[in-house]
Amino acid sequence: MPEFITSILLAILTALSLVASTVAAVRLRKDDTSGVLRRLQHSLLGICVTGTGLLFVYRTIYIPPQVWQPLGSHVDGLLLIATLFAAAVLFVQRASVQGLTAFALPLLTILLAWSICASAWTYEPFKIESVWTKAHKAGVYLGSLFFCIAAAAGMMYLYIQRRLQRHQRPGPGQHLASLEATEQLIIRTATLGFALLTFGLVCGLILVVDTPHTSLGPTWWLSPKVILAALVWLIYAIVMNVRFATAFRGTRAAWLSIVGVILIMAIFGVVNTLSDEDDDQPQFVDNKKIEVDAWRH
Amino acid sequence: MAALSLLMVGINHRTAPLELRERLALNEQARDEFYRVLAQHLGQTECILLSTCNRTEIYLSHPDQSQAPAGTDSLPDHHDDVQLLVKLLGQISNLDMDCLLPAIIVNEGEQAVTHLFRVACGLDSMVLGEAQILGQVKRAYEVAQQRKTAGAVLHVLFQRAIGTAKSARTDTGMARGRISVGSVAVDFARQIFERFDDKTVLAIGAGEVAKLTLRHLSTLQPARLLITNRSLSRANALLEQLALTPEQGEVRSFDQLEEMLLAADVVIASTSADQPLITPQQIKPLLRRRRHRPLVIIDLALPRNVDPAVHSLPDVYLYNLDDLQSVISETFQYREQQIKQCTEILNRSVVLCMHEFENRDIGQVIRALRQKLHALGYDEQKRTTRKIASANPQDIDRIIQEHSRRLINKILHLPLATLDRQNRLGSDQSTAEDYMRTLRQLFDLDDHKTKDHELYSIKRKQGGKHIDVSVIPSKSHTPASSVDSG
Repeated sequence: MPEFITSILLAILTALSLVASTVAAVRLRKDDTSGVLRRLQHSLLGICVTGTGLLFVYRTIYIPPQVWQPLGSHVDGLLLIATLFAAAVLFVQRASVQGLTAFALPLLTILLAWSICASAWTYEPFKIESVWTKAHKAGVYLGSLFFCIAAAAGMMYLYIQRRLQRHQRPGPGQHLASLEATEQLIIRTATLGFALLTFGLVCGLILVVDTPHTSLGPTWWLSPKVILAALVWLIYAIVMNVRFATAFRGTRAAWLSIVGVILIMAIFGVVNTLSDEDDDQPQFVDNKKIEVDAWRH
Repeated sequence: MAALSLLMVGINHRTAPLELRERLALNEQARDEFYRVLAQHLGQTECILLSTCNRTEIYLSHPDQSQAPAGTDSLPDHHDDVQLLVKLLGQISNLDMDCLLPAIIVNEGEQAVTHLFRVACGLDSMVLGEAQILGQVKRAYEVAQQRKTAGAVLHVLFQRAIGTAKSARTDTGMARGRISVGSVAVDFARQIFERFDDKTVLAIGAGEVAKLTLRHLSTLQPARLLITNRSLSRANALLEQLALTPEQGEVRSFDQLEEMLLAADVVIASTSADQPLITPQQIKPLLRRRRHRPLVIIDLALPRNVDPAVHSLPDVYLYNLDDLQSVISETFQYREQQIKQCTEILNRSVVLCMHEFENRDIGQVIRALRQKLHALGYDEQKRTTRKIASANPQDIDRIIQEHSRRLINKILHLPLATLDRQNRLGSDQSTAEDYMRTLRQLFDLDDHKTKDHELYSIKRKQGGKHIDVSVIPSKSHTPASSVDSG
């Protein structure tokens, strides 16, 4: 029942986020002298932030404590990212980077739509029994959150740059941050995201090495999940570490932040859609899984 | 309705050349002197002086003339006031009347109200819709408040003007947009850079255009300003004019252009060179050395100082005069639309403001009427009390009836006598009819009620102009003579 309610609420929030994305896109193309579209967009985003937050609280309260943890399943992870992402974007927009919500809303819509899939069709609670698993999940999901912000800022950077190159100026009611502010946001959030992802992957590595009989098998390093994760990490490791040699600046930083998020989504897709089980866990008879199955049915 | 006693006398950029406006732009000391002298001549007259670089205007209102009798539609005669103000302005600015008089504008009543509203909204400014004037109007009002020269009329007028200007700006967004090359250049730079305290601005050329643009850019407080020019003396002169310290500004030889381009974040090119000074071949090798820092180049020269192909280089943003001019044109187009909206708001506010002044007059009339009637009532009350004191108890009812009759007759005496006189004079038939219509409306005397109650009858003799105004008694009353004054 909680999964059904979660799915319904997520569908409503996704629809609202989609409407907000459309309004934001219209605002970027048309002058908004009256400010009606701006108010509508911000109201919808406010509803989405509040809605995802309340849904998160609902899941905390109504899902049995032995099952739910802050990152108890992929849907919870996505919900956590979506809530924090929307709230962070609102905060950053107010603080320094005006216009960011317009580029963050499509990503929020994707995250919420994906949450529906994870809730309605591929729901599978994580089996978190080790501190390494917790650290791994937290690192990867929070790292993904910062990569999402970096990607939104990256899209905004490319948009502003294109307008500047075409000598187009923002019309009335269109306030966009400077290129410099947007680039700073990309670099800071990508750096933070990279640090968290590194932490999460190191914990995951320790977990796999420490546990001899995982579903990944003895050739765990050949699994798509591990290869894709390593690839993302490697890309970020290269561009972040040579950024003082100007590789991670301007347009490149913007494109890399977008590519990074696409790769991370691909990993989540591989892990949670293609594989039947959570590969992080040892293959032993899982009493907790039985409990969860009993609760779900 | 009493005519509004409001006068505006002054000069502005439409009527006076710059030299004259300079002389009449009163500083604080001259303004104080003006208020002092004016108070000597006009006493309690309300007065506000608005003096800016583009206008010097004086708003006057005589409290006594604002209470002109009802029915006076003509404006109060301000001829003496105008002469006095012009003379004062001439004295304070040491100008001959011959120079001053052709530039003087005079507005009275509603015209003056509309003028102030237009001024506050920026519709009368040299740069249409500019916002600075609103602050100056506020300041002028504050000074008048401090000096206690603003009274009932000017308080209402200036408060409404400031309020209207604020709401017109908010509702129409009229002040949006840039209208000078320098400010547009600053806008372009701000789209790319967030902060300028770590940026270097390079000016190639040291002419008037460079000076104006650098003045705008210096408001962003860049870390360093480099000026280069073929003639170093002109570059040094510009640096002096901008009043920059050696740490803030520096003049460099034109030979060091490449090095300067390496350090610069914003480049202003405005030389009279007939060949491009900056080419893609020059910039391309610098990009890597600049570590892909964005470079904003603003080419204000004609012929252009920067090869347009530079714009195609990554991380380089080139703007020329056409780009800047198109922004300015857009702003003017946008403002034209907003000015229409603003004018509509302004017109509505003027009507409301005038209505407020009118209501203020109605209030005064009502107060005067009350005072007069209470005085009549008091006199009659004294008389009746005296009579009752010495009367027999059986006469009390008669005395009270007499009191009521006398009081009503006294109240009606003046309006009905006026009505009768108007009719006898016969000069203006419509005036008597207007009075009768007004009486009917004010006392709710439609035909039906008049017949039913039989209190008063205003009969008009057929064929003649005489109106017999008689008090028709009720059944219990004895007939009374027409218009008994008691």
